[in-house]
Amino acid sequence: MKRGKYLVGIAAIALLLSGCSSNGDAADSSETQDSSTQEAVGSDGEKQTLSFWTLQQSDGPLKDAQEAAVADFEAANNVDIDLITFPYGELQDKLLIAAASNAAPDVMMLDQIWVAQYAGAGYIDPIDELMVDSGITQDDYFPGAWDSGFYQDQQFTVPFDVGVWALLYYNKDMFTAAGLDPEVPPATWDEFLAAGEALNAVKDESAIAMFASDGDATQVLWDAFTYSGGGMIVDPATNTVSLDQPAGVDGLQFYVDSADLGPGGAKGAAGRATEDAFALFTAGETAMNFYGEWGQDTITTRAPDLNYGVALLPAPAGGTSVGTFGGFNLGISSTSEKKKLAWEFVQYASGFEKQQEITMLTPANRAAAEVYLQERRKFPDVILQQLNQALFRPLIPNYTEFANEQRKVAISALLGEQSPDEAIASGIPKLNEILNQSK
Amino acid sequence: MTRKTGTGLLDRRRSRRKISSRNTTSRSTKFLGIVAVAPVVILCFALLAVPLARSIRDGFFDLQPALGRDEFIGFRGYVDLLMDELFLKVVANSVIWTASVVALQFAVGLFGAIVLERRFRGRWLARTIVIIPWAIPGVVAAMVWRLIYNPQLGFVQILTNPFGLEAPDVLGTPGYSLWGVVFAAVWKGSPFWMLICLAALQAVPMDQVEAARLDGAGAIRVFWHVKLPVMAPVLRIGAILTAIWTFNYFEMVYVMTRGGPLDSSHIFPTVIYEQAFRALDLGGAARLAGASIVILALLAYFFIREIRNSEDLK
Repeated sequence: MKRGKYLVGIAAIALLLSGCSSNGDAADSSETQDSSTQEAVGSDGEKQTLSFWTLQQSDGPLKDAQEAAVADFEAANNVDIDLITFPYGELQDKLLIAAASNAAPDVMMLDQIWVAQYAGAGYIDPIDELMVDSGITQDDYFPGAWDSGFYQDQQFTVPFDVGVWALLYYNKDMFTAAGLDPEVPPATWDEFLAAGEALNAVKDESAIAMFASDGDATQVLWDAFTYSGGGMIVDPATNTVSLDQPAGVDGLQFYVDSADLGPGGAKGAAGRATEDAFALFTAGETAMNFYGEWGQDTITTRAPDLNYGVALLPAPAGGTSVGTFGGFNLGISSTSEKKKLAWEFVQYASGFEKQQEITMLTPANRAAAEVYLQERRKFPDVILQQLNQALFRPLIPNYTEFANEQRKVAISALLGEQSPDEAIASGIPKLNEILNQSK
Repeated sequence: MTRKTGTGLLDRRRSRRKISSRNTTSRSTKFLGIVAVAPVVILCFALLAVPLARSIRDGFFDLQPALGRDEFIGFRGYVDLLMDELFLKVVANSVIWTASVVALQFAVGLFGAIVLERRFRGRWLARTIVIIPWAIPGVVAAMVWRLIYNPQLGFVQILTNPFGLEAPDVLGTPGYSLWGVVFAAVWKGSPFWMLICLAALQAVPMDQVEAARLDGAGAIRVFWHVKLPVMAPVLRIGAILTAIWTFNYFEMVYVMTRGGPLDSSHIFPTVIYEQAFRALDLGGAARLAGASIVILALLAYFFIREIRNSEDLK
């Protein structure tokens, strides 16, 4: 009897303790359910509510512009937009929980790399039929961004904004001090490494700080080096990972060589976050940095007097600089009861006019992007060229897992546990296994 | 032969009435207790039992919505899990993480409590200051420690640079990363232990301490033979509770290392989070959660046993 009471007690406590995360999920889903169910589909003339979850903005004017755009849409369509914003990580979590609980908002702001995951799970609807009579055309958008909205030959999302990993930022004053021409940034890998040596001769480990500890920047940069060498991540002919081909191996070798020029050598990059690396650049501790065009906002805030230039990502001799696309797309929930209205909103938010005002990164609409870059960015031509040449990442539903393994390969090479070609050879079976799961 | 007197009968009646009234009071107290506790118990079960049951069910499925998989696999998933290299690493990391954080927090907390128990000028201020790390939100503390460990911009390089040494990349080196987070967690959690130990120390009867001193016992012997036995039940319960909290602690590890590099600092909560919210492998996450429930149940067993022992002592 005593033992029985004991076991019941243990089970109850274990249940209470282990259920913490589930508890959160339940609370979240009930909360989102509420917001979804309170929106009754109205008859003609009755005001409807459309829910839209997107990224939180810290930039005041952008936030105001987004709210104004929402207000315009509300007035023009006799609708209330239930706009909820989250920081990136929270948006990722909340959206996934809501979608899995059939309580997703009508319109979702999705990172490009989530599109296949949501499409595969049936959380978002294909929009091919809606596209037929819409004013949205492929030519209006950057090719890489447009293609990121497809999964298994069906279109699921419309591109909203784009960013490319990466551009080369460089400190002109440090270039001058090292005897380098500040108006002629390195264009090839050899030139880049030579410039790094020259910069290190003035101040040790000041050439560049590479990074590998967080997020997707590591593997997208490796992807970009691979693309620039004429390679690809997945060979569509055989549907196998092709990072073990010369372009992939050379790309990772260049990553390691670049990291070797920086603080702590290649090993030092393993624990460094992207933002830590950029902080060293804006602090004048390093002369070069790989980052997206949005880094200009950080420099304006943090180091307004920094004398810097922006150039295309270096490419191997004879190669072409190709970046890797990132950015956000708009999708419609498969459980939405107001798909027509949701589609109206998607068209409104991805059109030329509004794109100039409300995007977080460069608009995905090319015409809007040109205006945006001319008005808000230094070196707009360089950024535009990179945007036109960039490619997207593998469009597979388990990309997160794929990216995680790819990053481990890169870190293993950076830490010197294996040479780049050995690390890739070790990682390829697992990467192919993940790829095969998505077939 | 005994003769019943009127007075005796009256006494017995009075005594019976007293017992009956005591029983009524006891019954009503019990009822009140049940009524008071019932809503909480019902609420907890309503909020937790359903998700937990669902989680146990998911553990027997290959459930990966993005890949269109929802297939019953029985115990195969658990068998695969036991042979998974990452799982074994996570178990080892979780044990190291929990044991070292609890042990070090206890040691630092006890030392602090002994110091703060003594009378000195500004003791109130010292007691207030030491509590600050505990009051800081975990995410903020993790961000601060990330910065401290930064080998180029952080506090670590200020310590090493004067000696011409290169600052170690604590969070970027597989052998150090978990220990880097352990150190930060000890800094953050020790004040709680300091409070527990201080409260336990102040509960030690002074007459026993005085008696031991009169018998010639020194400070160490007084502590070991008089104070520690009195403190022991509280410390044991504190240790088990801290072990449970530490085992489930998420934000500090995730913010500081995200379980890396090369999974070297992944513990159960971080790897479950990655599986569920990044990879959308709900079956895999449920199996990991199942394994962590087993470990937590063991800790809960010790916790309940300690509470019962303490009650028996009373």
